[in-house]
Order: sequence, then C-alpha cells, then structure tokens
Amino acid sequence: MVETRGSNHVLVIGGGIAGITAALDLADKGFMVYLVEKSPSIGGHMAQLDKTFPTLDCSICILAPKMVEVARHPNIRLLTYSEVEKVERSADGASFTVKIIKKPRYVDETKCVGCGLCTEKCPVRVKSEFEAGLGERKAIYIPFPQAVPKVATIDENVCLHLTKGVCGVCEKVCPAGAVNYDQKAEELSIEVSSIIVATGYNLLDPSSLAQYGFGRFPDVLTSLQYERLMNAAGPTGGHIVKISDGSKPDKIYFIQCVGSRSEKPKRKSYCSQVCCMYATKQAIVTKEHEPEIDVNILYNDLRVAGKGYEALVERAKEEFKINYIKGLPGEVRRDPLTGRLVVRYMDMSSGEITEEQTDLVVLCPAMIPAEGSETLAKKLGIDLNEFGFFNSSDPLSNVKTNIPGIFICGCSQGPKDISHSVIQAHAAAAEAILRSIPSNPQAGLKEKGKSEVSEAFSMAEPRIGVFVCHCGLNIANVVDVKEVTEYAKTLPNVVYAEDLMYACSKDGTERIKEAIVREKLNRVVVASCTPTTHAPLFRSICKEAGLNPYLFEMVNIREHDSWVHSKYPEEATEKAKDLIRMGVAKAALLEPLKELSTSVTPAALIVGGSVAGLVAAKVIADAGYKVLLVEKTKKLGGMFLSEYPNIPFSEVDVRPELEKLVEAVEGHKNIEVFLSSTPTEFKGSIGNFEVLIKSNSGENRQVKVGVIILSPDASEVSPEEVYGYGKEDSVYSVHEFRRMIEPGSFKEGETIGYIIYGGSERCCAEALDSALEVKKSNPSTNVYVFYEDIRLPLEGEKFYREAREQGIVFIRFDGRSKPRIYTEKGRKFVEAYDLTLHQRFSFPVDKIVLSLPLVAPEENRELSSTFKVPLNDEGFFLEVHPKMRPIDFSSDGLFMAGTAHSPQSLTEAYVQGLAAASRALTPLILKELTVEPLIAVVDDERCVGCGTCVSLCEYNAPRMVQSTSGRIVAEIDPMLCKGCGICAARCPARAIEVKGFTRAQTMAMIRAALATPSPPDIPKVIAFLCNWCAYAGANTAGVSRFQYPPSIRIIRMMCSGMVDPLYVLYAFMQGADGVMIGGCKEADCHYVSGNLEAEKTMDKIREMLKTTMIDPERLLNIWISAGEGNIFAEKVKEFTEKLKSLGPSPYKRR
Amino acid sequence: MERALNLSKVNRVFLEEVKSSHTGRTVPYCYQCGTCSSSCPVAEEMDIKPHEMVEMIKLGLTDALIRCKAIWQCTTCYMCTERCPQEVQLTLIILGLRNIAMREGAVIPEAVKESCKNLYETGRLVTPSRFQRQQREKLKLPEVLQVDTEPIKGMMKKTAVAGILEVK
Repeated sequence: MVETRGSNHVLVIGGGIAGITAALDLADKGFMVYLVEKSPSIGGHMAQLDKTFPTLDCSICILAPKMVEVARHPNIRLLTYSEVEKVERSADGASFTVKIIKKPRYVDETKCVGCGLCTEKCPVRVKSEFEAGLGERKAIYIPFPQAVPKVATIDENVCLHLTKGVCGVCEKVCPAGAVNYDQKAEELSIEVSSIIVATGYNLLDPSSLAQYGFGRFPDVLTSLQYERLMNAAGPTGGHIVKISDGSKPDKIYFIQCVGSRSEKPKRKSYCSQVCCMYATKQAIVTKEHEPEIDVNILYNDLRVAGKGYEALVERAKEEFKINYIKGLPGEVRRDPLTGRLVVRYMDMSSGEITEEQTDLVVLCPAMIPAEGSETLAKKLGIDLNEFGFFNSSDPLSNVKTNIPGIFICGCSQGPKDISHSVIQAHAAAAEAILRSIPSNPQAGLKEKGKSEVSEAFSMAEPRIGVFVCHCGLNIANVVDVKEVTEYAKTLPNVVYAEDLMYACSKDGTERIKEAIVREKLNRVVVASCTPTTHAPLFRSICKEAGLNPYLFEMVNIREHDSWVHSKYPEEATEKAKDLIRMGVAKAALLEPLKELSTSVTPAALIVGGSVAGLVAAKVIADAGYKVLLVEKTKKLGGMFLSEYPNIPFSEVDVRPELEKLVEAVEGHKNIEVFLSSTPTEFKGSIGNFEVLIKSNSGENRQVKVGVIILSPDASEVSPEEVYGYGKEDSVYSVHEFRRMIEPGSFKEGETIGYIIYGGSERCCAEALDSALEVKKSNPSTNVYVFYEDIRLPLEGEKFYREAREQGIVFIRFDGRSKPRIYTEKGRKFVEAYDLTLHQRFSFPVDKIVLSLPLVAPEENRELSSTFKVPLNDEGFFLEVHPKMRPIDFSSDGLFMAGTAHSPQSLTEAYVQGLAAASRALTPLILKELTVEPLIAVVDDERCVGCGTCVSLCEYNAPRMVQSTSGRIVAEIDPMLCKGCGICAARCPARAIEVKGFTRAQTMAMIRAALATPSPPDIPKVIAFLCNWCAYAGANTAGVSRFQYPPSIRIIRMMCSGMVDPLYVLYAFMQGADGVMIGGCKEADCHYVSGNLEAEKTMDKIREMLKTTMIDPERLLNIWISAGEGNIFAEKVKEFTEKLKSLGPSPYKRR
Repeated sequence: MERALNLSKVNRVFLEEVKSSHTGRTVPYCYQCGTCSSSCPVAEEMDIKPHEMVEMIKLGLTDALIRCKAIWQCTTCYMCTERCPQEVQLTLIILGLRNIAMREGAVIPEAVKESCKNLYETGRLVTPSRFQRQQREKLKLPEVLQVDTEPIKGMMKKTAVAGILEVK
C-alpha cells in the first residue's frame, strides 16, 4: 500500500516529450512537479521535427499545446536553462534533496515579453542549434517561435558585451528593461519523493564517417537537418532545396544505419530503432512537397516496429512510389564533371552495383545518449548500460533504475519513437505514484483562471474577436490567411480580427488574451485546427482573460480545409471564409455556461487478466482503489504466462515474477477477480460507469466504477494463415518449440530451420532467442534462420551477432516469395529464394520452427461493441492519438493496455499496463471531475408533457415532474444527461435545447454557410457530423491528407441523433445542394443508438422530400469510424459527383 | 520457375574449414548489407561479388567459388575490410579462398601463374625494366640488389604453387 509520506514533490529532468508527459501526468494528479530543462526552452527534439509518423501529424502542432499546458500548469514549476547539480538521498530512501543551478540567461524571465526586438538588433550571428546548424540565431535569442518560456537568453560565449565588454545593444532596445548583464547563476534546493529522468538523446556526428562526405559536401545532411529543411518554419521556409546552390533537387537518397549496427570503433553496435520509420516519413513528406523528386531509401533490414507502421511503409511504396533499396552504400562522393553527388551502392534485390548521381543525401545516424548522461548518472547514482543509456534494473518495469525512487523514460533509456516515449513516461509516473500520493490533489488545481467578468457583459451586444491561425504553413500554404482575416472583420458583430502564426503557441495565446481585454471582446472565434485537440486550450485562455469559456467557438480550417484541398487554394480560401462566417454566426448566439462537477466512483474495472491487465490492477489497488478484474477464461496470466513467460536475450527468468504478480492480484484486498466472466452491458460516463458482469455460470453482477481499462490478450495467428499449412510433424511454433529445448533434446548434427515471415520485432527476437538456445543445448546442430528483415530491440543486435558467431546461418529471402515447406522421400525441406545469391535453394531440415505474428484478440470485437470503442483495420483497439495519447480511447475514462493495443513483447505489455494504471488513476485520485455543461435543458413553458424524451433517453436523464404552474413537464437530470441531444431533435414541441448546440445557433450556422452562392459547378453541402466518429473521421482524412472536393461545410454535432429534421429542411430551403448526416457505425454510437434514430428520421425526411422539388438523393447519411479518413474522403467525392449530375438545387442562390 | 538447388549434397565441411582458418574466421559475422561490394573498385567486373562470396561459403557452395574469376580479380585494396560494419576481413577471406583454389587444383589465371613463375625464378614479382635501371643510374641510386632465389624456391616448392609451376 502507498502511504502519503514524504513530500508529493517530484523532479522531472528533461523537457522533451517524455519529460513533458511525465510532468503533466503527475501534476494533473496533484503532485508538485519541478521540470528541469538544461536548454532555454522545453520541447526537446520533438519540437524540431516537421511531422510525426505514422499519421504525418505536424509535430509542433501536437506538441505546442502540451508545452503551453506545462507553462500554465499550477502544479508545475518550470526551470529551464537549469541543471541538476547535486542529489542526496535521505537515510530512509524515501526522499531526495536536489540542488539545481539556474544558469544566468542575462535576461529577467519575469520581465521579458518575448517581443524579439533584442534578437533583431543583436549583431552576432551563430549557427542555430534548433535549426540543426542549417540556420542562424543571434547571441541573444529565443530558440524557436513556440518556445516555452518565450523569453530571450543571451549566449554568454558569443555575446560581445559579455565577452569583450562592448555592444550592449540588446539592453538599449529592450522595451521591458529585461536585459541584465550582471545576472548570476541561482541555486535552488528542493526535496522530492521521486525523480524521473528523461534527458533524451543526441545524434552521432557523422563527420567521423568519412565515406559519407558529411561536412565535406554541403548537400549531405543529417536526418535532423532534413526535418528542418522540410519544415515551413525552417531555414528555407519548407522548401526542399540543395544547400549548395538553393536549387531544387531531382533526386534524394536516404542512407540508413549511419554509424549504427557497426562494430567499428567509435560507432554503435545497436540499432537506433526509429530511423527506418522517420526516413519513411521524411520520404513521404518530400513527395508531398515535390512529387517529381525521385526518393530512395538505402537500408539493410527494414525495421518497422510499431502500430500502423507497416501500413505507412506500404503506402510509401505503393502510393508515393518511394524506392526502398536493400543494400548499404560504400561511399558518397562528388562527380568532378557534373558537380553532383554520386552514391554507390549494392542493390541486393537486383544483384547489381549501382552508381547514381543525386542532389541530396540524407544520413540517418545512430542515436546516442544525450550529452552529459554520464555526469548526470554519477550525480544520481544510477547505472548506465553498455551503450551508455541509463540502465533499466528490471527487465519488466524498464523504467526502474538501481536506485529506488529514480525512474527513467524516453530515449535516455534507449532509442525509441514518440509513442513509446509517452507510454514509458506514464509508466514512470505510475512508479512515482507508488511512492507517494497527494492527499489533497485538488488544492493546487482549483486556482486556475481569474474571476469572470459579469454575466451582463457576456450577454450584452456581442463583440466578437476572430483569430485566424497560419499554423506555420499548414494553413497558410493553401488558405490566404490575410485575406480571410480581412474578410472576418466585415462580418456582423466582429469588432476585431487578427492572424496569428501559431494561435496555440505561448505568443499566440498571449495575443488572444490581450485582445480580449483590450478590445473588450465578449465572444472569441479561433479559426485553426480541430476542437478535438485544441478547444480545451483556447477555452482556458478565454477563462484566463476573464471570459466565460463557453463564449468561445472554434473553426476548423486545417483538417477540414487546407489539408484536404491543398490543390485548390482559391476554393479553400472561400471555404475558410464560409466556415468562419458560420463560426461567427454561432458565436453571436453563445451563452455563458457554468461547469458542473461530478464525483468519481473510487474503483476501476479491468477487462482482461493479461500481464498488462494484472500490472494495471496491482498498481491501482496498491494506490488504494478498488479494482474489479474481469477475465474471460478460467485463469489469470494471459498469453505470456501460459505460452511464453520469457524475455528474449534476458538472463533473468521472469516466470516467478509473473506468477508472483498473479498471486498478488488474487490475494489483494482491494482486488476482486471475476473469472470466466465477461462485461455485457455498459453505460455511464467517466467517473461513473455502470457495467454488468456476466459469468459463464449465469451469475450477473452490476458494478459501478470510475474508470475502465480494456486489456485482453492477443493470440498467435495459425500457421495455416501465414504459411498455408496446418499441423504437421516436425513443424512447431516458437512457443511450442521452446518447451522442447533442454540438454540432450537434439541429435548430433540435427538441422533446425526457423522461418520468420512478416516478422515483427517480437517474432524475430523470440525466434533468435530460441535458435540460440538450440545451439547452446547442442552445438553440433545446424541452425538456419530464414528471414526477410531481422527486426530486433536495442539489446537484440548483440545476440544476432552472437548467433552468427555460433554458426547459425541466416538466409534472407525475398519478401515477394514465401519460403515453402515440403517433404520428399521422408525428408523435410525448406525451399527459399536466397536474395543474396538470387537463387532458389532447398535446405534439408529435421525440424521446422515457425515464428508467428500476433493477431488481435477475438474479445476486442465484443468489447468494442459493449464499450462503444473503435477498432483499427486489424481489429486492435484504436487509440485517440497514436503519439500523444497512445493508450487512451476517445471516450474519457476508458483506456487500453497490452496486446489488445498492438502486437508487443512482454516488457512492452508490462510497461503499457503501468502506463494505463497511471492514466486511470488521474480521475480516481482527483475524486471529483468537472463536467462540461453542454447538456439538454427543458423549457417548462413549451413542454407539453408528452414523455417522448423519457422514452428515448438511454441514460434515464429526463423524468416527468410537476412544474411550478402545476403542469406535468419533463425535467432533465444534468448529471445523467450526456448531451447527445437525441431528445431535443425528437421533441415535438421543440421544448428541449442542448446547451452549446441550440437550434438558434445551428440554424444561424446553416444560414451563414449558405449566405454566399457557390459556383454552379461546385455544389454546396451542409454536413452534420457527429463529434465522435464522422467529425473525427473527417479529421483523420485531413491528417492523412486524403483530398476531396471543397464542397462540404461541416457543422459539428455531438451525435447524428442530435440533427433536428428541421435543420435538413432548413438547409435545403436556404439553397444547399446537398445535406449529409454523418455518424458512427451501427454499434459504435457513443450514445447507444443515436445513429439508428438519425437513420430512421432521415428515411422519413427522404419520403417527405419525394413530394417536393428536392431530389431525395440530395440527402445522404454516412456511417464511418474515426479511423476511416479515406472512406470519408471517398464519400464526399462520390456525393459531390452525384450532386453535380443532379445539377444545382432549385433553391440555390444565384 | 528456376529449379531450387538442393543443398543436401553440398559440401558442409567447407564453412567449418574456412571459419576455423586464420583468414576465414570472420565469415560468420556478415549480415549481408552489401557495403563491401559497393566499396570494391573492381566489383562490377567480378562474376561473384564479395558479399556473395561470403554467402556461398555459408551455404557450402565450394566448387563455384574456388573456380570463379573474382577471387583473382581482387586487388587487395582492403576497402571492403575498411568499411565493413561487422569487421568481416573480406580481403583475408579472399586470400584464403585463393589458397584453397590452389590446393584443389582449380584453373588459375595465366597472369597469376606468370607472377608465380617470376617470383620463383627471380625472387621478385616485378623485375625492373631497362628503363627503370637507366633512371636509377641517372639519379645515382644504387643498382637493384640481386635476390638469392634459393630460399624462395625452397618455400614455394612446399606450397600448392609447386603444382602449377610443375616443379618438385
């Protein structure tokens, strides 16, 4: 059990994505977090990246809101430009005293407003670290536009005043008097209960690898430099050009494994894990910028270890025609005649040595431990591993170090991608929670925002401010932002409009706040990206400026406009104007609303007794909360315990540890286990879920919980599906085979053939581990491993080399032709096409071992329909965001963990279990949650007491009561109402309105959307999309850049069932050429059956339309999931074509 | 489709022999990245490219390997060895293959035989030309020393070279 002991203070070292995630996770739970970052701004490498894979999200766009959140969080003390000086552990080990040095910025952080005047005037130019040396910065500088804190820092090594006592111009020009050349380092001493280290990585300097020409040829870049080259805010404004002469390249080569997987001195023996994927991303983005550039990736083994990564590589090959060439180059040189670069490589699949002229070469160098890791490790007393990264002391909870209370996450533990860093950060937070829990978590959190302006002011004549975001070039590249801003100024009630480079940056949000106060705004419209990710930020900005947060409206001109109409800038600009006009029309009718709060049932439901589920259960129970653990089968432990309780390459036998975990869960006083049971019915929302658990023996139990984690285990695919044959003699799965290996189990000279087909990292590691065991048990055996790409975790590379040393022969086959197994004269053979020799060989073998990929749990499908959570194409759970919220479902309070999320190793599953526990603990620890007041209310005067709402509501929110005037009317319980609006749409007296989605507001949007005529050849469609699936699907279309015609004007609804038939008719009357209703797929409705209600209603409307001049085909309903961006784009395309063939609507304005 | 080559009959001892030799001990480390071949200045001319040689050793495809031209085309520039990320000593491996080829009586290129003959007879791989001798005289350099060929002959008689030189 966790006691509330010591302080609830935690130190997080490193302000990259891992550190930010860990800090926010704990601060949200009421911990006081000190976030120490040694550079002038938080953000880390992620801030430098242009895009993230596999969704190709703009990196800074998803990171900046988090950075701003850190800066604004009442529980986070941000210490940038600071370093840990000394760490002392208390005698009982419960706490640490940490001395932190705040280096002098020579700028007073409290005075600097980040205006940049000093930077402009400073005469000293040096290479910018943020631009990876491609651009310049001044001696006094703000590293990048979204920097947090956005204050200047003087580089004391180059400043003329500090080095030579001259200049001093920054001090003269600073309007805030913030420059202080006499500033001294400050010392700070804090006491914390845990320390989380997240200091990230560096890239190996490739100039030491002479054959690649880095440093000699300007057009040979590192991958990080290339990120900056692609970035709209980068040194070339996002234009991909040759550094040597600024011309456009015709050809680019990406080179993998630069200084990694190498035994040479000063290089790294391990694989950096992420290069193949980021090169894929960079290649795709290059093609998106300049489709005619010939893009090539030279690689050895393609390593695509993550969810949805394989699909991205497929797209890169098929859709973007990127050439993946197996074979590393010997050298890069310059052709003295043409002056172009020449890459010479061995194309393994053609067998030809190829020399190609190219314009750019991008090197993907080894990721190495961050500078200063060694010193920091010494100060903290923690171990480094053989590669110099911080050492995990526990093979399962790999965030643990040799010092209890010090945890590691992100790339400082080993190279990994953002998703894995975020998951690990949550896992580290879980470990920190187990050391101390805040007793009064709400104390620090309640103080957010200042007092609101009077309601009278809010309700007075609307004074609307419109803020149009460039999002770097994400919007501005397509939409003419200046023109749109000017246009916004002409709209009714708009008193102020401004365009912002990044509305969500510290700078952008400050400007919004200032404008609210200065211009006395009482309504705010921000036209930028999707409200799904950014509305909460802007709401709190309004709140901070004294405005009721519900007097804010967001307009999506990125996902729904610039990203999906990139080839139609004029139409996209017109569409942006329409969308803003709609937003302004709605904003004028917004009302101030008060937030509601709800208490949280202090219990968690965990479905699936897999390793991940067990870990989550134990952590939550140890933290003092009740856990109900439901397992479908008769025993706990799942796949890993029953099939493969082993960590490849690890000396440690983890079976006892896992068995202990099962015992601990079974015997825990806070955990109740339901075996042979499944959850069948589900209702409620975060904090208060109600679930019916049904046992196989027919017992039912209704339970109440605050949070839910879904963690069933995946299973191995059958050999038939992969290799096309069933159970045969002498053919085993790796798991089966493992149980057979013991000394003496193999004959002298026996031959074993392993086949890894379509292998994930897990498949390769398990096969390799097993092959090594065979060799160990009898060195005379002949072992062959047939593979396409060897994919291994960090530590695996060493064992791959050892396996080769032991004489295991690895045969690389061509992925296009699977190895075949056959029997001839009683002998088994593996027939494979050897890619190296371009020859088909038959290998005689005695036993064949198959490495089988994992497939999604069967259970996922049932759970998906019970809990209304989405699945991806492969049947794994779909997270709300693969990078930033990798284990959260889109519905609040629901989380996923383990192999139900994606195929993963035992350690990954364990760490995800920890992470899920931490995510789930936030509401539990807070005890009370604030709920959005966007709920249905009844107008007594209008209600006729028919009871339609009562019969429709799935949540029993409405009931019939006697009104003050004595009539029987409906009343809606605000805590039960989910705000779906199904009742409002069906109320015959139109007596119910949903706050934030009122009839007047929606109809004003429809009117505004259709106020300007569209060209006759472009139909105008009003689309009512449900927040959860269709609107999110449209976001996915945007994120994936699936293009569709600029015909639709989207109005966000909470549910398709919220669409009042009146809206449809009104849209047609106003001249819409078509109306689209989009909702979740049949079983996916977040409000049980809103989509079915919508479908019924639409059928009725279609019947009615038959009697009018409107062709019923002008009304379309689509049911898609949040992941189906491509289908959404297709539907819009088809519908637009249909409407074109029908011609303009008879009511269309001309 | 091309018929698969049945590996039941190939020489399995070969890998073991090469691996246990001084020249071939690094063979197993190769992970087939192709760096050696793309670094080799004569790889385009080779009938079997350096990375393919390693694979053939691993599969025990001896015959084709010791009878190929490529092992004699290697200029021993060591660029492959210099760049191999797995520290495979490819130049040494090729030298080892030449030894096996000699031993097994494979057909040796005439130029190689010629060099062997020169060495056997003169103690030098290259004998100074008349022009070179004149130049040395002009530059007042000492005359090229005469080599005592007897010890060399004695050594060469004990190697596989004796076979191709037809000396005993």
